[in-house]
Amino acid sequence: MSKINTIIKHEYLEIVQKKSFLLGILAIPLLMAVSIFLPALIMENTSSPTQKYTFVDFENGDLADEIKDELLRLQTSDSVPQFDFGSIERFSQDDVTNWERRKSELNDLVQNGEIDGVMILYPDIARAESLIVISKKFDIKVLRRAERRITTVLSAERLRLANVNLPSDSLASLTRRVDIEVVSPAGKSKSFETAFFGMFIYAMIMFMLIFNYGQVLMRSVIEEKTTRIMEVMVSSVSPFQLMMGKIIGLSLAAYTQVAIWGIIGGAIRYSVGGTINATILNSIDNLLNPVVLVFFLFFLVIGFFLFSTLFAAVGSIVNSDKESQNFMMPIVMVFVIPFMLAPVLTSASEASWAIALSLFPFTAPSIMTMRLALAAPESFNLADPVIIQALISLVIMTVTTVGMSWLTARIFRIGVLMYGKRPTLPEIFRWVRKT
Amino acid sequence: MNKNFLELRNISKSYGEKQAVKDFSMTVPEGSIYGMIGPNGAGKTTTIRMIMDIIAPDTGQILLRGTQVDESFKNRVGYLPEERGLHKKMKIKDVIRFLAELKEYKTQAWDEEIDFWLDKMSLNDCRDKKVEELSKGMQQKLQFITTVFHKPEIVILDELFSGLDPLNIELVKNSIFDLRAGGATILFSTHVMEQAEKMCDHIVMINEGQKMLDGELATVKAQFGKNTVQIVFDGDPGFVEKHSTVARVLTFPSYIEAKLNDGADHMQLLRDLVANNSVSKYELVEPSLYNIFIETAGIAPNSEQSEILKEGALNV
Repeated sequence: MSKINTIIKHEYLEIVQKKSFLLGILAIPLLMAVSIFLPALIMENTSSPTQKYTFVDFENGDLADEIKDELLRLQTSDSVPQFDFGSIERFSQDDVTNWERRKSELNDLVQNGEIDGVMILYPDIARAESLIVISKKFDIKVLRRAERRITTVLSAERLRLANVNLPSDSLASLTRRVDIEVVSPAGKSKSFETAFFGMFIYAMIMFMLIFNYGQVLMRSVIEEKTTRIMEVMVSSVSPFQLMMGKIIGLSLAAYTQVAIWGIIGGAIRYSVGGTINATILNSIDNLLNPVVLVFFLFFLVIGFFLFSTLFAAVGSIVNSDKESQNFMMPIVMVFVIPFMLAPVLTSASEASWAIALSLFPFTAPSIMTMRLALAAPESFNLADPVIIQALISLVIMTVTTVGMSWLTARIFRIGVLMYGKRPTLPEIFRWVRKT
Repeated sequence: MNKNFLELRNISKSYGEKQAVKDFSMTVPEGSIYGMIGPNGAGKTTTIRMIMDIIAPDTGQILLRGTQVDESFKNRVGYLPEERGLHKKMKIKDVIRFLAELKEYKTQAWDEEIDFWLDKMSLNDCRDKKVEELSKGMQQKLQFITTVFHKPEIVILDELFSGLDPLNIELVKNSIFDLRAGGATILFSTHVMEQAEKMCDHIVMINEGQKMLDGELATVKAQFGKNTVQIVFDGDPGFVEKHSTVARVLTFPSYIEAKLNDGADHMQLLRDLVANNSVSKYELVEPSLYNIFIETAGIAPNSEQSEILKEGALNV
């Protein structure tokens, strides 16, 4: 045992004393914060300048004016009108030749950037499903606001057509949208943003830790192989002790990192308290859900170990970083796929494929944590299917980890002393069979 | 002193078709300096790796004090592999301590003991330097320190002298004698026969995976008798080679070594030599290990293989 301890201490200090460790502690959250908040921040604070449109109408008469006037009331964040329309160009339905000619002129204007777009009201717009905009831009925020305004005007028109006459002001208030607010059984409010934020953060931390430290582990094995330290090492300790010592030493370094993040995060959370945006605060509180947090730590510990055995095995059979790339591909995929699935997962977290992936030991650490973050269970309730699945998933992972350690130890034992040529898969199978 | 300190019994090891070690046995007495000699590829490293439990023998047993070696052997041995390295980024004192701790070595006086060894190996100012800052020769001395720092009962050194400069060879050699004086047993392999001859009290000769002979150096040499003369003279070496008393001649840069035919009168050769040449040295000696090796292995003198061995013999 004391030999493993010596290796653990060595590997731990090797990592923690490096400048890159400190850098990682500071840089990774910063990077994460930037990648999450920056786009949102930019979106919120970027004003769309006034857009120059040509307004074309086909026989909608006053309704076209009404729509135009309503849209002219839209303002940018700098309090100037959002649209600049000029006068309405009116065409009759039968006037195909004139319209075609004008349309090609307008298309050119849009193409050349002299106007931002053309808004076309086709005949009988009140009964239509959509109106057409010809534009090169796609400013979703402006278009959504325009949509809402136009809908209000058209709703009033439709009511008028159904012989209900109301002033458009009261119509606006009568036809306003209703928001659905999701509240958990314990009364905490949930939203897509906070849920997505939570699962993203968890999966990200999981990925970064497992992947970064896995590569460190792999490199250290490769280095000890290429510098021929390995032969001295295995004359003092068994390859199994060496492997375990390395994995545990690195795990402890990773936990140190998580602990420091936790302390810093917690400190920030309670010191800034109410001074920051409620949505962000809510997201952070959602993130600190104790049940999710505890499960996350378990998945991190076991997942870290499981993947470490893979990285150790790869390190032991290759002779250089470059050679390891082929083996890295499947490991990277196992992590990238859950990230690609994340958006779908938010609406399908109970789908059978999601459950299957959260039980499969190699995707479990990311998928199961994501599902837990989404479900955000507030108590450790065994009747909750997510809790049950998480527990089963942990058991499967643990069993797999034990099996993988056994398998890797056998590959490692022979691999670390094989220099020169990389073994083929059949050779590796032979190592595993041989005692 | 235990006569059967480390014992190898009928060890064999094959790699696929190639048999690296064939039915090899040897007995290393306690407190001896035991040399395994043979050309490159003779099976020395494979044998040592089997002793170290780095590879498993196909058949045979390895015993320490009469019992099968086990995990505890790892703490009692100091091993310096032929291809060796150290953690480049670590400080010298940390490397020494780390590797000693892996041997579960305990002491209250780490600093003093580290300084003692650094001083002994003339690495005095290197305590806090990183390994990568040391020259190659210094790194080799450091490797030797890490091999013996934990006071092992047995020290196994594979191709100890490869790459060491003469000054460092002297340092290491003296340390080895000190270790033996302290009760340690030393087993080392080398293809440099000259060196082995100066250090060992026991030898085993290996060629093509098989033992050719072993025993106390003095006994081995005595077996071959004093039938060799070392000659330094100003004439044509061909004269000695063609002389009726001479079986074969080996030419070294500063002298020639002639093995005499069995029963030949060496005085006859001397008389014929002084008749025509100025002879500055003529000494009847025991054959060198190199000569014994050539003879036992049945290698033709002046063949390619013998030249490689001679290079080893001269490469001191």
